[in-house]
Formats: sequence, C-alpha cells, structure tokens
Amino acid sequence: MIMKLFGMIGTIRKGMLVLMLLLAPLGTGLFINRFLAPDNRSVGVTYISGFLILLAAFQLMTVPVIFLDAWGFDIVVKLFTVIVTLFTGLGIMQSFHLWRKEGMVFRKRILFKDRARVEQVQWIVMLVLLGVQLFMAVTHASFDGDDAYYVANSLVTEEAGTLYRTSPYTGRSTFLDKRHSLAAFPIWIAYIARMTGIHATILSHTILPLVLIPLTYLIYYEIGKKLLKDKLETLPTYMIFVNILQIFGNVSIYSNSTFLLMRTWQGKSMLANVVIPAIFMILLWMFEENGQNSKEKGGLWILLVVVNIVAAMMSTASVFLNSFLLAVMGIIISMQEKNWKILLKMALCCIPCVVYAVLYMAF
Amino acid sequence: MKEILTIFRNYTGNGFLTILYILALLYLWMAEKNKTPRAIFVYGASVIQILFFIPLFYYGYQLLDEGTYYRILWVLPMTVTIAYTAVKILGRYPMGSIVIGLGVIMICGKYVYSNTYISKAENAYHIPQEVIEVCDFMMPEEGEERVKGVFPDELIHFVRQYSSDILMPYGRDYLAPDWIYGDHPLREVMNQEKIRISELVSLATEMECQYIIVERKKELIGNFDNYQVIRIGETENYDIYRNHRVDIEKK
Repeated sequence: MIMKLFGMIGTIRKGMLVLMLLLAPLGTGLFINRFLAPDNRSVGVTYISGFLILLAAFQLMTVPVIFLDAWGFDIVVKLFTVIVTLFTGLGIMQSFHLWRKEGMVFRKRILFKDRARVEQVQWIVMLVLLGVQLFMAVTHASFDGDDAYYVANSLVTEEAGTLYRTSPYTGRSTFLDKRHSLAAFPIWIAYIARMTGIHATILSHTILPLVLIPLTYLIYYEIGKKLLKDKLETLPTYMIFVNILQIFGNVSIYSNSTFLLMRTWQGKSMLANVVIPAIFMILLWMFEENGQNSKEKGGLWILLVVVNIVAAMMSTASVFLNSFLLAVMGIIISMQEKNWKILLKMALCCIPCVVYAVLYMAF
Repeated sequence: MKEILTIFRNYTGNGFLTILYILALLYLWMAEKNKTPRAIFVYGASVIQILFFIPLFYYGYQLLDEGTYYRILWVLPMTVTIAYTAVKILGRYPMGSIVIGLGVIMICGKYVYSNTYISKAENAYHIPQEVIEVCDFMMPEEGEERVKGVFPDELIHFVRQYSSDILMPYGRDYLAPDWIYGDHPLREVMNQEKIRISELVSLATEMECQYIIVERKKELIGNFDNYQVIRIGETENYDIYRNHRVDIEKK
C-alpha cells in the first residue's frame, strides 16, 4: 500500500509536497528566530512557528476572498503562493543575516550518539511508536461521517474552484455557507492539493497525517522540554507516555486522541491537537521562571495572536474555546504574577477571535 | 446538571483515564513547585473543570455553540498532565516501573486501532473500492457536463469524496438521524423493502438523475427496460443503470 502510494505520486508532486509542507514552514519559521534567544532556536520551534504563521496568513487572506468572490479559489492560489514565497524568502534571508551576525541559525543540540544508552533506547521506542501511528494512518482507513462535508468541500473547491457556494453533500449550487466559510482549513487543503496535483481526498486521508501527527508530537515535545528542563534526560520517557496516551486514548468518539488518530485532517482535530497544545507551549515558554528578554517575549505574544487566528481557521466555534482558555489562564497568571497587564495583553491577543466570533454570531 | 454529566460520561468513556488524570492533578497540587506549570496545569485546569460542571456556564456556552460542549474538555491538558506526572513519579524508580506505568495506561485506555470504524484501507483515497468502481462507470466524458446519480445509503458518504463531477439528489444531510431534514422522496423509494421501478424512475427523472445505482440483493417490482433505463455495469454488490430519459449535457 505504502509503495503503491509513493509510486502513484510523481517526483514533481513529491517535491512540491516537501516544499509546501516541510520547507516553506521551516523557511517561514526562520523569520521568527530573530526574536528568540539563541538557546531557544530549535528546528522544532522554527517549524511549528512557520507552520502556524502560514496557516494564519492563509486564514486572513482567504476569508475576505470567500466573501467577495464565489469563484475566487484561483485568486486564493495566486495570492497565497506569493505570500508563501515571500515569507520563505524573508525567513531564509533573515537566517543568513543571523548566521553572519551570530555564527549560528539553530542552537547546538546534543547528538544522539552522545546521549546515555537508556535515553537512546527510549528515543528509539518513541520513534517506533510514532512510526506505528504513521504506518497505520497510511494503511488503515477510518470512517467519519463529517468527511462527507469537509473532505468533499476541499475536493469541490480544488476541482470546481468555488468557495463555499457548492453543497459538498450533493454538488448543487447554494448560497454562501457563511457559518463554515469563516474557517478556511478545507480550502488550505484544496490549495495544497492544487499545488501538488494530488487528489484532495488522498491528500487528506493518506498524506496530511504524515505531517500533522508528527506536528502534534513536536508540540508535545516542546511542552515537555519546558516542563522537564531541569532533567531533560527524562524527556524520551515523557514522550513515550504521550504516545501511549494517544494510542490508548480512544475512550470515546469525543476525546482529543480519537480526533488525532481517526480524524487527523479535520479542522476540529487540528484545534484539539495542534492549536490548544500550542497555546500551552507558548504560555509555558512566555512565563518561564528564568524569564526572556523583551524581544523574545514580543515574539511569543505575536505567536499567541497567530495561534488565535489559526484557531478561527480550524472551526468557527473554536474562537469561543480559545478565548475561554486564554481568559482562564490570563486571570490565573496575572494573579500569580501580580501583573494585570498580562490579562490585558491576552485579551488583545484574542481580538482576532472576537472579530470572527462577531461575524459568526452575526450570521 | 444531568445533561452536563451525560456529556462528561460520554467524553470520558470507561472513566479510568479520567481517574488517572484526577490523581495526576492531585499529585501536582501537592508536588509541583514551578509556578508557571502550577498556574497552567494545576490552577487553570482545576478552574476549567469547575466551570465545566456549572449549569449557568453550560447554558451560556449552548447559546454560543450548541452541541459542542464536550470540547471544553479539550482545553484540559490531560495528556500532558498524566505524562508529566508519570515521569515525575516513576522517573525516580528503575525502568521497570515505567513499563508498569505504561501498562496501567494501556489497561485504563482503549486501543484506537481496535475501533470498529478503522479498517484496512482498500486504496489511497481511504474509501471503499466499490464506490470507486461504481463511480468510474458514471464519470462524464471529455466535454460533458457533470452527471447526477441516485445511490443506496451506504455509498452516499463517499461518492463526492471521490469526484465532484458526480452530483446527488440528496446527500449525507438526509442520513444523519438527528438532523431535522425529514426524508427525501427519492430516498424513501430507494429504501423500500421492494423497490417499485416505475416510482423510482419517475422520481429520478424528475430530479434529473442520469444514473441509478441499486443494490443487487434488493427486490425490484417491474423492469427497468420498460422505462429507457439500461444496465451499463455491475460491481460485486451493485448494478449501475443509465437513465436515458435524462440527457447528459455538453459543456
């Protein structure tokens, strides 16, 4: 099955996939590295930031096009390709500048061979567990009724070029689906399908999990790095636990683990498994006890705004969920730090969510 | 309150992982010394849980977005809390204790790949191969407009995930039992124990369906040949008919 799949995808398409899903986010993330202290410039953080920035840019650019032009998918493709190129180019230029100035782009990391034997074994176990999940994602299909809307919507967008004016269920023309149209994630999938020439359903069900599942674990890894910074040798144990909790987390159809491994390609899953963990990652980082310089804090606040825009892209209702989470965390951290400006800043970060919430309620 | 408890029970399933989470949270209440993890994973998470069970909060949320209250539980960092606590506690003991810890999670949880909705993929689309075979009989030729077909219920979810060139008179919106669309007249006919062909062709023609797909084991009353409807293909379980009363338009 795996060999057949890779046989189906030509070299140019493979190249475009690598470009769109790996290199462009990494290149874009390099741009945010300028804000980070040298010790925090990891490949993981760069990739996560880049991925989120590109998604946020897509959401900001696409929603107005959806409202203004029923047949606007081609415009979306052209505009976003310019944005991706620009962001990636700026990121790479920025990293050249950093390299010349500081002699490094990413921080030095401990090589695998320099780690303790136990740690090495644990990392291998963790990678095997991840490998199993990716293998199962490619070779096994999971049925979910919502795909009849979301996946069919990506497909009709890519093939017909309409934006939320065709019923994914039947194919008949319809009025703008205002409620769903505020969350542009299915259109992003259509964009990747157009750029790579891969059928949107194959992309959703078989290829995107190979990127989105590792992305989730990368965020959990960064959270673990912050939580276990005094005993980083236990990080692989933590990651094994995270993996096992996901694999054995199918306690109901609603759990985030079920969404991660059975509905990976849906915006709701991205909300539960990328956006919300990313908020925890940013908060842990932002209020680390040894503190950051103001430049780095500024970068993290920007990233928090970015995550809020991405939340709106995943599911329109998620704007309430995200605002709620930030409100609770904002109040508690402000009380703890005895600094109410934190709550104010968090409220400002929620502005994109508020705007989308107002639009959502208005419809 | 009853609704909230039902949502909570539906989310947590057998409840054992939730018990592990509560135990982990209690441990962190006592043992977590770092202020930011304490704020987020102890105080924040506790406040979210309390709010979740407050009826006024529930009704407020319902006003904003009905039917998705379970998602409040997504913002509880259960996975991180359990994993972090496990490492904090078991990290002090020999490797064997970690294996036991993982075993406890495996026993408390449910293996995702044993889910009845997961099956071996038949193709890269991850939709039933038979749907592809059926649709391939119907695909419009070069220069032809999109076509419309009426399908048995079990195929409806997948048809438009395979091709947007195939339209349907009704879709998944008529299958979900809790949605309030009522039934579609053509679906009523398709789901009859014995399908009356005259009725089926008449409605399919009225709804401009060029194709009719019927499960072979269905009992039919009448003969398609009498209505300009010709069988053009078959798969393991389905017959594909071309309804010549409706033309396929040229682009």
